[in-house]
Amino acid sequence: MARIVGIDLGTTNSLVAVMRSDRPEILPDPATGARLLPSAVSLLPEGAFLVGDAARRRATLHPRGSVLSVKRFMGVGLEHVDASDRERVRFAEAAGALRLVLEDGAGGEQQLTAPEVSSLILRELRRRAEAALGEEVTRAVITVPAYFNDSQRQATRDAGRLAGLDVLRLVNEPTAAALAYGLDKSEEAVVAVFDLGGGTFDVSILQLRAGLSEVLATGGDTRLGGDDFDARIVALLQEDVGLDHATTSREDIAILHDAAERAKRTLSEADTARVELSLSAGTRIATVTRAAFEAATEDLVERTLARCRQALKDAGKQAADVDHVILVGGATRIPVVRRSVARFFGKTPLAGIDPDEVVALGAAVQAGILSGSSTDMLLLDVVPLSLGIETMGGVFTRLIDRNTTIPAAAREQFTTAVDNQTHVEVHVLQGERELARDCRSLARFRIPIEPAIAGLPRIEVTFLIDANGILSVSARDVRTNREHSIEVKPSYGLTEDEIERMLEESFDLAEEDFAQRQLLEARVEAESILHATEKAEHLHAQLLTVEERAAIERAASELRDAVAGSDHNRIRDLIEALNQAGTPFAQRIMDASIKTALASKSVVEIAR
Amino acid sequence: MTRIRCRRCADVQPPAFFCRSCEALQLLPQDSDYFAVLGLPSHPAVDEQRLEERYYALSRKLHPDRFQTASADEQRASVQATALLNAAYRTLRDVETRGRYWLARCGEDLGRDNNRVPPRLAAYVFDVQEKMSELRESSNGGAASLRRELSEAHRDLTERRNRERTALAELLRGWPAGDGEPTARDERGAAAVRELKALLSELSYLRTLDRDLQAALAEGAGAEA
Repeated sequence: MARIVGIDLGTTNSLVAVMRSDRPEILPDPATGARLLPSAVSLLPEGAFLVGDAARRRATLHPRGSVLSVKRFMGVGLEHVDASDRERVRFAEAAGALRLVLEDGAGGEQQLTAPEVSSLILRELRRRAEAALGEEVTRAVITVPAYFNDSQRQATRDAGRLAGLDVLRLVNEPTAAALAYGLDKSEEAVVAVFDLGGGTFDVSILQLRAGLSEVLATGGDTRLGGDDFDARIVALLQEDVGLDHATTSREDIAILHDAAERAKRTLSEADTARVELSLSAGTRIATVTRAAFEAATEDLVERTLARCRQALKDAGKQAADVDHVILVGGATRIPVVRRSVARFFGKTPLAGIDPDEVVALGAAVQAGILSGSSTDMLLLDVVPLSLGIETMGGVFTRLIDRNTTIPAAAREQFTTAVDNQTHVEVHVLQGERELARDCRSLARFRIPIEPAIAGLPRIEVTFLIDANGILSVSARDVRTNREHSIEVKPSYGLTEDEIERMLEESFDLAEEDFAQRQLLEARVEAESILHATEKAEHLHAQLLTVEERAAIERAASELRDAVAGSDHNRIRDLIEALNQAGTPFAQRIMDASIKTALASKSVVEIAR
Repeated sequence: MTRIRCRRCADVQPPAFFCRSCEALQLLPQDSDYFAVLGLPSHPAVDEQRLEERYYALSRKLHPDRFQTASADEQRASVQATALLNAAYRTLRDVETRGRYWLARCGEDLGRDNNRVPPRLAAYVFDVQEKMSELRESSNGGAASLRRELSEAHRDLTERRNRERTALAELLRGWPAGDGEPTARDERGAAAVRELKALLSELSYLRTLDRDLQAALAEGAGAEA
């Protein structure tokens, strides 16, 4: 039987893994050996899509044609995007499922839903897996943040379908991480999984015994992650070079974000990070200290700990009851995060498995369980948010409490308020607040009924949450014992018809053809170096000798010609040639900007 | 006692997840008897360790993960069965929810009594509520000592709840079961039901009071900050 793959569809990076002789293994890109696939998608002028590393690099020059962190937009509506989202992505002003507008750079644009964008990433992972395994891959386990609500889970499953994958199971990311550590087989223990990803934070408390992993409680914040730490560094960088946030151009913001990520990595090892910023106003060197970074992110760390406190309380445990702490997500490499978690739980967290890979590996383990190859293990998961319906006066009435083990069922009887009503309308919501308007709308549906006097009909509605945390609804007329079909209209999701239509209109995915892809990637790189060269020539003309300028222009012009052709090797060679021609110039720009940076600091600072 | 007919071999038997003759997975109604589906004696005194063991053992057999390659019909049955199992375990594991479930078995519910202050708690509730309204009305300056008093009241409340839960567990442990009935049809049985009702409504009231008290404390902390 064909194998089931495990996929971590992450905010920043995605991975695919599979069980091979009883061990989970990451499947790298057969061409490059890369294990992580950046979750980036970019629309090219020819109308094809670029996915992964090349798309992420292209995003710097073409932010309007690229989407990063699409996971943030899964299963949400226009009312859930904020100002910082709008800074990065343009949205079609329409109700229902959110539509992202991508400009192709040639005057055209395409509107895509988040599941469609994600499906492009999944297709690339599927291609990787098929190349590595040498067989067709059609079935997958995909991980989601534990805190994902029903709409977000549905959207993830839809993305899988659009990528031609039968999604057998959605697994919560922290739970997958625990499976990857294989703690479940060996002992009886309470485990806390602290998962700080690019865009989301999850914490789960699990009880493990004799091969059975039971999630006791889960909590988190779908709007808190490594990106927020980056944003704080961006602010520090802006401050350091004296840029006003409101007037910083989109392109400069992208450059700052790039630099912030580099600075964050450096600060995980060193006390100070110096980054070069090729801004539109010139090249600057900015400095961020670890102390400043930690002070600027203290509130973010505290927010994660508050969620840990709540999760422990929901699980009926104390921090001291926790036997192991598992770190997941690239942002847990940040020293202050690690230190705070260790202090909070009073023990050193486990970090034996790469925090970027642990979730995908766990997904592969769950895939193994589903394929029947690991029968000694079982995962009992919970629903992350309470589920209920809107009742009289806009009140949210809970039917299933958060942290209830799934599958779970709840039942409610409805009747009519007016004579001869032909249907009852039910509004399903998810959340922890008292009023319906403060909770997330999942769906509305109508139940047809036989007209009768008010209060006489008895319609019994059953809500069933399956092992994926996904809701289905059925209804029965109690008096006639007749089953009613229900048409559920998801508030932010895709309808069955929309998915069918999307499946028919297949995308032109650049990755499909390997040679084509290498060409496109080389072009993206050429474009970005040409752009950088032009900008530098313009800004630092005084640092350039006549001979140098001529050499650089010649190399640039040759590269431009090559880009118009279709030989990717020639493009690569000419990129290298242009790089060589420009090296002394780049060095001089660097020296000059360090001088400028030093000149703007006080004497005291230099002395230190 | 209700009986079911096996989906596969038509054997008529007491409700259980698997047929006693052919071991086929059964579609039990979601309102099936929780004690029966877990294979426990029909008595509110539950051996917690045994309950847990039964739950895990059944989870391993019923969970949808085990039916991944089965027919769509079997898969649906497994989801339904696991949902019922989870509900049964969740209800019986906690002494309060188990008490309520048993009260319903006795044909009673808390009903309207639930909204009135339970007589045995009247003086206590009055005292706590007065302190809370004082805190709400007081200006920031005088709040510190009141807040201390309220924190103390909260500790006291937690202790009181624990005492009541212990009393409830004891009541259920010594429950006077009748012959094939949830409760003995004598004065002992009637007294037990009365006491169960009283304890449950007190616990329910204390839970509401606890929530209000915590909210008042959080609000007070907010006002001070």
